[in-house]
Amino acid sequence: MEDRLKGLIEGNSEANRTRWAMEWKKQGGKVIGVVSSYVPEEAIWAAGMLPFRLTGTWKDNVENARVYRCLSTGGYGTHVLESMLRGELDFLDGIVFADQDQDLLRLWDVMLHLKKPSFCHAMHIPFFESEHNNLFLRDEIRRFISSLEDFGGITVTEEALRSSIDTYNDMRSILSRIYELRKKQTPPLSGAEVMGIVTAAQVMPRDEFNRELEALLPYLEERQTNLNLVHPRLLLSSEFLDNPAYIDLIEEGCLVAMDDMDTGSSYFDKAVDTTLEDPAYALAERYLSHHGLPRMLHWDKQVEQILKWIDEYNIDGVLNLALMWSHPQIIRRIYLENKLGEAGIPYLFIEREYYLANVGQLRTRIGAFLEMLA
Amino acid sequence: MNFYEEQVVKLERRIKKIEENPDETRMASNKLRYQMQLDHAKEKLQAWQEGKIFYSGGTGAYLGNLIQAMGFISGGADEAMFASTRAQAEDYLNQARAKGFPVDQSCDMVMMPMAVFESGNVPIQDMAICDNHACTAMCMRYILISHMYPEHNIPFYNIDVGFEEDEANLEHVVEQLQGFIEFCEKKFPGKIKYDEEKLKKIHAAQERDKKYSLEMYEMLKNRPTPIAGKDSHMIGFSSMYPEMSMARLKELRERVKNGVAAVPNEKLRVIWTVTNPVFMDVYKVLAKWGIAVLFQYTGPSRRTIPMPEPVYYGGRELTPLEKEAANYISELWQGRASKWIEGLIWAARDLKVDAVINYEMLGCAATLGLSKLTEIEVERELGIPVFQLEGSQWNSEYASEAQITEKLDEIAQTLLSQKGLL
Repeated sequence: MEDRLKGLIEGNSEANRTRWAMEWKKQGGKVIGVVSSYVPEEAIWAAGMLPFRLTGTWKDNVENARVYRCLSTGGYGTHVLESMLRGELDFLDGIVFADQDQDLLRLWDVMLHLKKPSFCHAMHIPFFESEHNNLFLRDEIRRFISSLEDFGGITVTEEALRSSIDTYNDMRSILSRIYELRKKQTPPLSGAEVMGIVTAAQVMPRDEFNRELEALLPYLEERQTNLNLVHPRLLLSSEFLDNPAYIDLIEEGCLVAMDDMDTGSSYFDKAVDTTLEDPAYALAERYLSHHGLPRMLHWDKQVEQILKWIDEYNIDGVLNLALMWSHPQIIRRIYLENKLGEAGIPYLFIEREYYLANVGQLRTRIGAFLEMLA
Repeated sequence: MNFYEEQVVKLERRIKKIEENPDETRMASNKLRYQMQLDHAKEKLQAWQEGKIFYSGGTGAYLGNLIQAMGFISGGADEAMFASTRAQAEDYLNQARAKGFPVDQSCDMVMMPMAVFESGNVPIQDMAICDNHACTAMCMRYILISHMYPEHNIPFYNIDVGFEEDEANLEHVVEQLQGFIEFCEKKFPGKIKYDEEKLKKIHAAQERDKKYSLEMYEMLKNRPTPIAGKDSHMIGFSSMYPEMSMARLKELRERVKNGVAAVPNEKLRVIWTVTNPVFMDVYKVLAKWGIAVLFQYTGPSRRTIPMPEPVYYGGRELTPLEKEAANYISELWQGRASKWIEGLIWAARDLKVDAVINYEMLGCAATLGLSKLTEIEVERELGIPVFQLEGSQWNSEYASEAQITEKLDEIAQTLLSQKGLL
């Protein structure tokens, strides 16, 4: 069982992440790259294609991408572009973007210019939830489905969409159960391992992932771990963080027991309401109302949720590891800091590169923060 | 002194200076502009003292007409920021940094108004709009304001704008504008009321001003150009002061007739994009090499150049609110790269410029990712170079006046050399 678990945890490692996509292609399937957790992947899965969240190169050298993206653009987009230009993503049949950050739209523009890959779609995600915006996003989702149909020469039936939503809801439910286990005083998984699992979900066939994780749940409930430390317990807030080496570094002195990330809780928070008549509307409603990333308007609700998690997961402090030039995280910082301060929650903000860098400096700053918590 | 009191003193001083010592290289009608700005500052000061309803938002250039037609008085932090002296700007930047606003980690143009807002130099707005019409950082700034100051109890209205120019987006914005009107009328009963006839009159006045502006734009094609540098900022932004537009137009016609050059010994002509370092006069640096900056290509430029508008709404006559919505989504920074680049190529071709200087503004999520694409497409379509110049808008610590001057000198020499004019 431990080997099977390791297989999942390392699912998005550099060595493994394309394994399922390649197999999928061998079977004649199409693989669609996903840039942003606001892309309603259910539509891709319903079209019989594999949604594959793009991870950029974890290497520091981005000389090819730098031609198109200067230093003060978001590192995630730059590293994804570098991977694309090096041919590491040549297996993709298409890419879908959401304007989670305008910087991602600019990445889309570059991909369109490069005509790589041939199917390149972008969606506008309204930045707050309302009935009006749900309807707008519903139409965006319908348009996205139509473009997938045209691209694949297929028809996406309502039944297929509903079935895909069920698969995703199952995934959300299983991941929620994993997160429940993180509430234990000695959880069965480290923060880095949990991120490994969530990011594996983003690249594997979702039904296969569900089966695998479901099978592992009883084992996980009993699993004895060799965690470095189980205290202090941190909540990690970040965006585009997909390299577990960052969390390994943090966990040298603590346990990351909960997160506020698109590669974590935000990815699977809130199931799609299957009782609604229109599945596209139900998707729109879920994507606008789940625990939002800072690009969404209602920061008060986001902080309320973070405070709730702090209580439920017995968190000692919050580490905000924002990606450099990621405006939503960086601008929300002052509000989050104030609100956590009012609640007496220790908070540390650090900007980071996309690839693992400045290790010594990070170790020193995080170490000092953890010392204060101790 | 608050911002409007300072403006009154500053503008009175400026007018006096022009009267006593006119600068031959600048337009004489600028005096009229300052006079009108002075009247405007006095009116706002009075409105503030009388407790009238002030509006502020990232949407001034976009919803200004509607706001006016509803009875709001526009004003606020952005207005004060753009009128700042270099010393004031540095002071505001330092205040913003001290309070923890990410001036150096995001966009200084977006973060500096936070310090202005907190300084008390401008009225606390009675109403604010949060929208994503231009860029992520701008949108985030208004989200920040909406959450940071519960003590001021500022009502916020949120408008979501898609990035596609199509009927769906038009309808999306129109419905929200209708909601906005309803919201404001309920919030300020008896004080704020949407007056569609007034909006139609504003649109009619704008159409007239647009004609003036287009005539001025056409004059840029004269060699030498009668308008360049700082004065070129005024093309397309004349609707507030129609009398000044008329006066300036007359002056420009005279200049054209007499062959007066805005840049003495004009050798080459360029378009400048995005924004510029406001702490220095970049145009003077180029002018000394005989290079005239004809045109500023920015987010709202589609409304300034006579490029055929995309008719995604079937060519039908738009209602006043649809016009406002169409205006909103015509913003170039917010859309696809092709929207930005096609407009630039159109203007560069139309004005027969020799090069484009693309200002890579630190942290600008809207435009930084466009730099290389702009360079490739402009060079491919027109065979002219695009020079990239890095800097910020207000923060001279990132790229100083000396560094930018050096780089501009290099650009000028390269361009002149390429043309065999050095």
